[in-house]
Amino acid sequence: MVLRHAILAAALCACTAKEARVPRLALPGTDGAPHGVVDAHVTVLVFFSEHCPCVRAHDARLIALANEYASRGVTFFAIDSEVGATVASDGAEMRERGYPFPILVDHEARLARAVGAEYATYSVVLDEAGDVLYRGGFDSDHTHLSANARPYLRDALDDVVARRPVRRAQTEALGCALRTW
Amino acid sequence: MQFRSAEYAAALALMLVAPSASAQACCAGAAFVTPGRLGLHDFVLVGADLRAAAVVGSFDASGHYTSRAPGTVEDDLEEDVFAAIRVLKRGQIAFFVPIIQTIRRAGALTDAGGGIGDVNLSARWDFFNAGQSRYLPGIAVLAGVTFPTGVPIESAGDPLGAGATGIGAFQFNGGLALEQTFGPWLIGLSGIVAARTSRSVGTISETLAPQLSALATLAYVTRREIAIAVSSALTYEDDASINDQTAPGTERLTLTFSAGLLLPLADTWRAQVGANVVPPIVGVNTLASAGLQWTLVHTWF
Repeated sequence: MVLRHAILAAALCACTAKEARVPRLALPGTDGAPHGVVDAHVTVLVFFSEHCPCVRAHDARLIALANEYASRGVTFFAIDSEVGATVASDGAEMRERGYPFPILVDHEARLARAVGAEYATYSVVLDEAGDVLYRGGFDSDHTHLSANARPYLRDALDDVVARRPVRRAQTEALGCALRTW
Repeated sequence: MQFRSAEYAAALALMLVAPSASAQACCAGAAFVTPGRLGLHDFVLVGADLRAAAVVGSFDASGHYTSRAPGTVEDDLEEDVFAAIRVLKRGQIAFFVPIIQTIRRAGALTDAGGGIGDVNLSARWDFFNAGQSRYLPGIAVLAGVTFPTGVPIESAGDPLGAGATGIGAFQFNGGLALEQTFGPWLIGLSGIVAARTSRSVGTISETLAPQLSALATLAYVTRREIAIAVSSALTYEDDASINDQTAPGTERLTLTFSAGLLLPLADTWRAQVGANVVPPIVGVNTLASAGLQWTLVHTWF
């Protein structure tokens, strides 16, 4: 078992893919329905980890951003790609945190591998074709939020909604390592 | 001098190892044990710590413990400065400079001395991070070299050797570190082997035996990333050689327990306080002591 996982780990390290177009996966959501991850005009995927302080610290900012952009045609999903994730446990997390969007359970981390997500709060912006317009951090803060954080995801969404090139298409996510295997 | 060597071994082991607590415990927990270790997203860090310790007794070559004799005192103070930088995504190189002061008193004789100790350069490569896999722990290889930049005992210049700050030989370290997270808990296990070069004092050539160190750590990290950690280090080395002949009764065994608290002051600042003790339980040719440590680290990511 350990050897099998070691081989898988080596393969994952060598091939953490960052596909330019995301496959049309349908993932079970905590709202009880499956969701296609590229069905909307603009989709934001934010990778979630239940225990990660960085995610916890950003919950309020994430909720505010999702609410603000909902009326501008942007759909938000949190993605739980961690081993052992279930709709039931993530549903409890969604309600406790007050997320206005579902958490989708990414069994076997297929979506995480497709977009190169290794850390919680890793955020991806997709267009309706599944093309990746932005990937990286939610912002430049880790767990101690500052007033002068660089709002990477917000900037990307502003550009996408305004139909102009994203000013910074790739940044670093600062959350916890995702347990994906 | 025996005390110095044991303390160096523990300090260097801690510098090389350092667990991080979970995908959550990962970062704060690790930083507690190895202040000079970069966190998951850190690129560079600089830090300083202050250690103060008092000797309470000693173990002889047969492992028999004796409390400090009335009228004898050894107090040790150490200020360390350290820095680390990330190399590629999974590697890091750390630089550690100890500055040591010692006060010793035996009867009517009192000596004080100190200065820069043996500077250490170490490297760490993480193949996997703790928390990435349910089944495999984080795995890292460790390597380092300690330079004889301190003052060896024969050059201390005072009768009680308070001016000694180093072992007088190069030390090459290699090791393996394993760590795994379980929610907010982190468990770390590390092993390090240190080989020392020979050194000459007059017509005598001395070679210390390879030193083996094992370190176990348990840390708990709160939602606010405050880490509470306990650790234990066991260091052993066989008899030394003098002029290529084994010198019986010179082996050393030191057991150290540590506990502490790490407080993240900001995303780029962290402070920690800790206590460590070499208890009068088990030991060979080593000193029992109790000490405190304060550390401040600034990082950039």
